[in-house]
Amino acid sequence: MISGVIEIDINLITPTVASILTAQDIPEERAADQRTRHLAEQAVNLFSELAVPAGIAAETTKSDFSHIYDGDGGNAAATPLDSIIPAASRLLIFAVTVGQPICDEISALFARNDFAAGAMLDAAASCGADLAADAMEQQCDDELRSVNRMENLSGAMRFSPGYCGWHVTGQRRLFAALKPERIGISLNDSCLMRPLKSVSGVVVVAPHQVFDIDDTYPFCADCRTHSCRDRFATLIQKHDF
Amino acid sequence: MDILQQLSEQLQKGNAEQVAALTKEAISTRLDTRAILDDGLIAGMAVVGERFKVHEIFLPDVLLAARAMYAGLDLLKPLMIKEGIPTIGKVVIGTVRGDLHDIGKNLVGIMLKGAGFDVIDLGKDVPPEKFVDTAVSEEADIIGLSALLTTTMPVMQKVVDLARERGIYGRTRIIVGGAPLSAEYARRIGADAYCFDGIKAVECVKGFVGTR
Repeated sequence: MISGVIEIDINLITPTVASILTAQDIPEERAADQRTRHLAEQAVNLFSELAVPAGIAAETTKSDFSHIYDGDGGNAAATPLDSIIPAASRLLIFAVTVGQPICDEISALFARNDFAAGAMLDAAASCGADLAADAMEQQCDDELRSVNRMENLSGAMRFSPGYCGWHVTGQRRLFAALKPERIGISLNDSCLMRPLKSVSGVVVVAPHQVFDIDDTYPFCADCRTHSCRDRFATLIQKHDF
Repeated sequence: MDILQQLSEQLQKGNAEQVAALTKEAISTRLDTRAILDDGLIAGMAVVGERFKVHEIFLPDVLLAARAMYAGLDLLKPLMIKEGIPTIGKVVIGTVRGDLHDIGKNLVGIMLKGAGFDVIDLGKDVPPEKFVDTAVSEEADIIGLSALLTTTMPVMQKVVDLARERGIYGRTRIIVGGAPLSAEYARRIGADAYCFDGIKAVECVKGFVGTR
């Protein structure tokens, strides 16, 4: 399993114009608008220029992860991970970032009243951070293919504190175990990561059916994306389960 | 088309250079400063806000218009100070202590300024005392609080409590915003409103200031 400091290929995490516009709820047809398109393309270029992606990961046991997952005791009463973790064959805690320079440039753009460019780059950086986390998940998934994956029909899916009932303060124990400070990601007392455009969490390897999450938990009502459903659909389609 | 209509139109199109040029021209023809502001710049941003609300235009268009507005405002500001022209209200905004997310707060500030409010942006990681101290010293109409983490939301309660202690609660309204928040949370902590975006913030603030 991948572990330690991970090199992340910037080409894998550079967002597309389409994804940047979608992230801002801008309909696809607006990509044809020259001005909007130009702003998004500028954001992609800036992202490529400024992103300093980095990742770190460590395999952990179910027992050690349970301790991490319990955190400060703030998790929802019932969460998808309650049933997913027991079924896991492997667990990988991770943290990724697109780096501080992009965050600094976003602030600089706003400071010089270049609001549209700033907001576009912010959207690009958020997309990039998610893609970096996806890249981590993909590496785990790829590794599975080489080890009898088809026998147990397993897949890999990632989960992060602050989502799916896992309280954001879960990051404290995750950081204590993983030490992402080694790649320049820190956590403040409020569990805010710096650089802001960073993602932490766990990649779970388990039989694919356990990732068929019922998105009707109480906290699902506040979720803006329900990406768990899309990600499960992608997993199924990708591996033709 | 008169110059103020042209000004409004160019602002709506997000043409900052044109807005600056037309504002200069309007000033040089000795048009009333208040009229340039209200009937040119603010009128233009109001149209932008309405079009954004009904999804005719989107965030980049709004922000380009805002940039154009700022280009005009920068030229008008010295005249407004010289002539003692007040803004329609004063708003203190910031991201609460422990939190560094500021995009949403920035967008709210931009929209409020575009609507003619004087916005004092305290930045990020702002302690509760600074919100209230600034509101007191500036005689602010509104305090706007932003938080994007559930761990930093409790700071909002502290601001409300401090506002009560300092005797400005009720006179200075408190609005809150941020992804984990809700109208119910705002009610629970004694805030006056939850605003889910900049447009809503402008509506709320106009409503509160208008009731004075």
